[in-house]
Amino acid sequence: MNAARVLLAEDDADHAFFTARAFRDAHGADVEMHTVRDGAEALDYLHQRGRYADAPRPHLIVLDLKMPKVDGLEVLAQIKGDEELRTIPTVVLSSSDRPQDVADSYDRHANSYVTKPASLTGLREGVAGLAKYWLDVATLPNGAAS
Amino acid sequence: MDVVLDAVSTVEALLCLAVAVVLGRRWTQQRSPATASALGVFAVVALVIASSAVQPDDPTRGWGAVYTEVLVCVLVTLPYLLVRLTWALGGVSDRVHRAMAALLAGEVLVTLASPPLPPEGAPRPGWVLAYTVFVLAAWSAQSLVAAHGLWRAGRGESAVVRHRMRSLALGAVVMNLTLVLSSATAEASDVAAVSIALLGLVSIVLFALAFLVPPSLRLLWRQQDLTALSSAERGLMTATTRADVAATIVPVLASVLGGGAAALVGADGEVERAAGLSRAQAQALADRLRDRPQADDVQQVVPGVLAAALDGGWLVVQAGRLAPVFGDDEAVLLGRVATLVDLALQRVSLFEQECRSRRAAEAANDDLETLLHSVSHDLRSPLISVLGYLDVLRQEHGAQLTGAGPHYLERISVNAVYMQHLIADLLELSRIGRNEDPTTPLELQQVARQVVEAASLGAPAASLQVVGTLPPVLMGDVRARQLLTNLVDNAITHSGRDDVQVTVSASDAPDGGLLLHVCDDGVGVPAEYRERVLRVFERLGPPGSGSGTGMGLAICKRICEQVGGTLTLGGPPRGAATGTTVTAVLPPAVRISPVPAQRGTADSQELV
Repeated sequence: MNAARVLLAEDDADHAFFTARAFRDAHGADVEMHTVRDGAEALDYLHQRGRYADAPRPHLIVLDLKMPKVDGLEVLAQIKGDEELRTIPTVVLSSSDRPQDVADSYDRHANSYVTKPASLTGLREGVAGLAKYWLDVATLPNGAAS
Repeated sequence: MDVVLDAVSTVEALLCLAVAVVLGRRWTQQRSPATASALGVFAVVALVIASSAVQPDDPTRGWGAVYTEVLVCVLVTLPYLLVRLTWALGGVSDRVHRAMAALLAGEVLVTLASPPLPPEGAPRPGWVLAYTVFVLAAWSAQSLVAAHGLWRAGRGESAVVRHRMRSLALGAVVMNLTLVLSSATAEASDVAAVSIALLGLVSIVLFALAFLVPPSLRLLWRQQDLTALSSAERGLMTATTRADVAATIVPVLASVLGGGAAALVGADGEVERAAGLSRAQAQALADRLRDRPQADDVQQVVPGVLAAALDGGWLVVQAGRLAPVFGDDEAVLLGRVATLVDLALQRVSLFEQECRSRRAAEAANDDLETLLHSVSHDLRSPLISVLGYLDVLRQEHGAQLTGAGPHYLERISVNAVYMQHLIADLLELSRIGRNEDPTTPLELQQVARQVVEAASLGAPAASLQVVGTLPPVLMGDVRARQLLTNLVDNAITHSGRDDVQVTVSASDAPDGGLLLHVCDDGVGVPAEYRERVLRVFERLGPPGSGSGTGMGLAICKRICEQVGGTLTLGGPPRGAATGTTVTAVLPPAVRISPVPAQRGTADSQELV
């Protein structure tokens, strides 16, 4: 069985580190984490441009909202406006709990919105929940995961 | 008999003289056709009365006949002068005025052309009767035209002016009646002669009243205007903007002062409100005022337009047509109103200033809250990383640390966690009041029971209970729960002993609101610190000593303030030696079934 591929777009290297670690802790070795640092990189990755020409298509996208260059909402809008990409489940993982951010994300067809927990334990539990649901429970298109 | 008649004519002469003096003085101030005509009326009456002193023995012969003819010529100008006064005040048209002047010319010509009257007792030829009828008819026509015109011209004027005009109109009618009666009863009895003389006096008094109004009568006449004005004045006291002030006073002023037009002009010469004037007319008036020095008294801008200076700007009134004759009243009234408008405008300006400062303070407060919110939010993120790496360090490299190393790692961790709590509380504090919906009914009893149950799990030795019944309230579930949880946790944490007794109860506030009490029998808070511990970051123990972040009570206070209440800290509950009573004072608005406010509680206690 192929490993589940997760694209994590997160500008904070530390948070990216802990989020990726939490995914691996929850799902073990058969999760392949690909991390990008801003919205433009995320789009390059998804459209297989530049150094991401050979990047594999992810099974799940985890998107931060506040990112340099192209922000998360814009990336989300582009993903969900693209016939090729819109079937990839996209989860917003943001430290913002502003109702407007939540509404804007669902407006752009986010598959779910998760507020980044305020503690590491919380983050680990939250990510474990995400990993469990999207990589174990849910059936994803293109025959990924379980 | 003659004594009575003499007395009557003396009174008449004096009255006429007094009015003539008043009108003469006004004539020197302001020459207008109306004042001239009024002066003429009284001059004629005074002349006629005075002429009796030089009456010749035989008025039908020699110079006596000339005297009589001249006297009649003077006398017949009287009703015409009344018509002229009426015309000057706008009560009759030019055409009617010209017709009446022609009638007067006819009377004078006929009088001069007719032969001397036959002596008394001699048979009277037919022409004498015809002449008498002609003069009486002309007099009556002129008097009635004047009376009707005066009465009509008074309509719509201020009450005092209206009454003055009516007094003149009645005077004209009564004088006419006097003349007709005296002609009809040439050979009258004494009683009839006295009655006619008194009737003449009445007409003179009515004329005089129009020009010399006694203060008491003036007050009586003005009552109606004063009622309208005082209601506008009450409006002025509650006006909160300049526009309100203008809208309250300008229309009333326009109607009370008779001219039907008024305006409020601002300090910059801008018309703020006009009534009875077009925008252009009002602006033209305002332009005239622009460079005019502001004086204390009411000034005449153009004939018929009065202006009272305000602290910044002008109150302008188109005075009634009768202002040239009766202008003083209007000027006094306008001056008085201007003073009140000034006061109202000052109050408005203070009020607006107050509103501006309040808005500025609110905006500054909002900015501060936004800053607090975003700073605490941004601080959270690096701290998660710090804690995360600490965790990783401990798990993966903990074994490599020796000596005091593990202790230092522990201290870093404790402080980072403490900082995380601080930030969480700051964020919570900044959130209270943000996006909070108006509330739905909440079963406070149930919330209190759940809070107490949850707190019991963390403090098994403590005795926690809800005493009595807590009524349902209009508060957000999250906030009410947070309030009770913080208060109960606070009571346990700061009690200084494990077996503390904490009670949650409610009572009615004297104003109909609700008091929520959380009491403990712990060590208590010394009276001098009670005020301080309600402030942000105030604690009685050192940081990290387990006494919290110092924001729990501040958050509770904020929650209470958000619904219009407050939080107070008191001493030991009844029956306990030590302890604290924290009371959330909630306003009547949070109660679902209103409880009547207990009036005079203190008094009734004193009586008992």
